[in-house]
Amino acid sequence: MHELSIAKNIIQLAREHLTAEEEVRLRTIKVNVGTFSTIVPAQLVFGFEAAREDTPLRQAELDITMIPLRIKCYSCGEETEIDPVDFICPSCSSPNIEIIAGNELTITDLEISDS
Amino acid sequence: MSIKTIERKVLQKNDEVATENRAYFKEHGILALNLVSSPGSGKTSLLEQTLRMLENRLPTAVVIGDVQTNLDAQRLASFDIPTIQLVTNGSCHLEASLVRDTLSEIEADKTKLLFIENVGNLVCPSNFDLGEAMKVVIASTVEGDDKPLKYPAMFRNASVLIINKIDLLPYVNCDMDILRNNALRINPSLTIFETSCTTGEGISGWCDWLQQQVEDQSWDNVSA
Ligand SMILES: Nc1nc2c(ncn2[C@@H]2O[C@H](COP(=O)(O)OP(=O)(O)OP(=O)(O)O)[C@@H](O)[C@H]2O)c(=O)[nH]1
Ligand SMILES: [Mg+2]
Ligand SMILES: [Zn+2]
Repeated sequence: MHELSIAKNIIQLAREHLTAEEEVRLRTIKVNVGTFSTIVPAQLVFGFEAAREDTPLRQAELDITMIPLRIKCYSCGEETEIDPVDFICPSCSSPNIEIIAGNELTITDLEISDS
Repeated sequence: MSIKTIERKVLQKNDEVATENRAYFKEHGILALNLVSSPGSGKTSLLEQTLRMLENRLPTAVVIGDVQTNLDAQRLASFDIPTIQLVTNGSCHLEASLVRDTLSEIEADKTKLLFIENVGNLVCPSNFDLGEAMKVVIASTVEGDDKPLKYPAMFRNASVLIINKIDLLPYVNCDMDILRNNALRINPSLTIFETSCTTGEGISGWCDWLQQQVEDQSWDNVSA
C-alpha cells in the first residue's frame, strides 16, 4: 500500500503552496496519474482520506485524471497509445520505442474556495 | 473559487535524493543494484550465493530492507562485508533517503558493488528511485510464467531479470520459454540469467557478468 505514503507526499507538497488561511479553504487537489505508474486510484483516494485527517486540509478532495500509456516509435516516428503488455509499435511492430506518457504522478492544480 | 496551478511531481523529493545517491555512487565508482521481487523469490538466497562467489574478488556491501525484523541481515552476517539492515516499519518499499542514511556506514572508496535488497513486493518499489544504476528483478519458477504480464512496470523498469529456482522446474507449472518471451515482450533489452540458489547453477555466469560490469564501469550508459 504505497498509496498512503504517496498521499502524504501529495498533502505535504500542496501545503508548501498554501497559506494557513488557504489550507482550510482548499477544496480540490488535481492530480495526474499515469496508468503505468502502478498507482491504484481508489487506494490513493483511500490513503488521502486517511492522511488528511491530521491536517487542516480536511475539506479537500482528490480529483484524479488518469493518463494513458503512450509511446513514441524510434523506427517510424509514430506516437500511439498502447496496452501495458504490448511494448511494440502498433504501426510498424518495432520494439524500439520510448514511453512518452503514462508514468505521471503530478499535482497540477489546487482549487481554493473564496470563503 | 481560485485556482493555483503548480505542476509538481509528487515524488520530487525522493527523486532529488535518488539523484544525489546516484552521483555519489558514480563519484566513488560503486555499482549499485536495486534487487526487487515478490516475497520469497530468493533475493537473500541469491545474495548468499553471490557473496560467497565474489568473496576476495569484488569488495561488496549490502543494504537490506524489510518491513520488520533483521532476519535477512543475520543470514548474511557470516560474510566479512558491511551489511546494513533497514526496517521500514510497515512501509512496503525503500525510499532514497533511507538508503542515503546508510551511506556513512559504507566505506565508499573500498566498495565496488552495492546490493540493495528491496522489500519483497513487485508493485510499490517501482515508483521509488533509490539512485541505483539498475534494477534487478527476480522471478522464481514457482510463481509461474505470467509474472511479467501481471507486473509490467517492474519488468519494464528493470535491466536484469534473474529467473530463480530453476531446480524446481520439474515440479512446477512454469514454461521457461513462455516466461522469457513474456519478459522480453515487456522489455526487449532485459539481460536474463537463470539460477538455482539450491544447486548453485547459473550463479557463476551472473557473478562473472557483475565483475565485468564493475570493471567496464559500463553502467554509466544505463539510463535510470
Ligand atoms: N528450491 C529452491 N529454493 C530456493 C531457491 N532460492 C531460494 N529458495 C528458498 O526460497 C525461500 C525464500 O528465499 P529468500 O532468499 O528468503 O527470498 P527473499 O526474496 O529474500 O524473501 P523476502 O526477503 O522475504 O522477500 C527460502 O526457503 C529459500 O531457501 C532456489 O533456487 N531453489
Ligand atoms: Mg530477503
Ligand atoms: Zn513504429
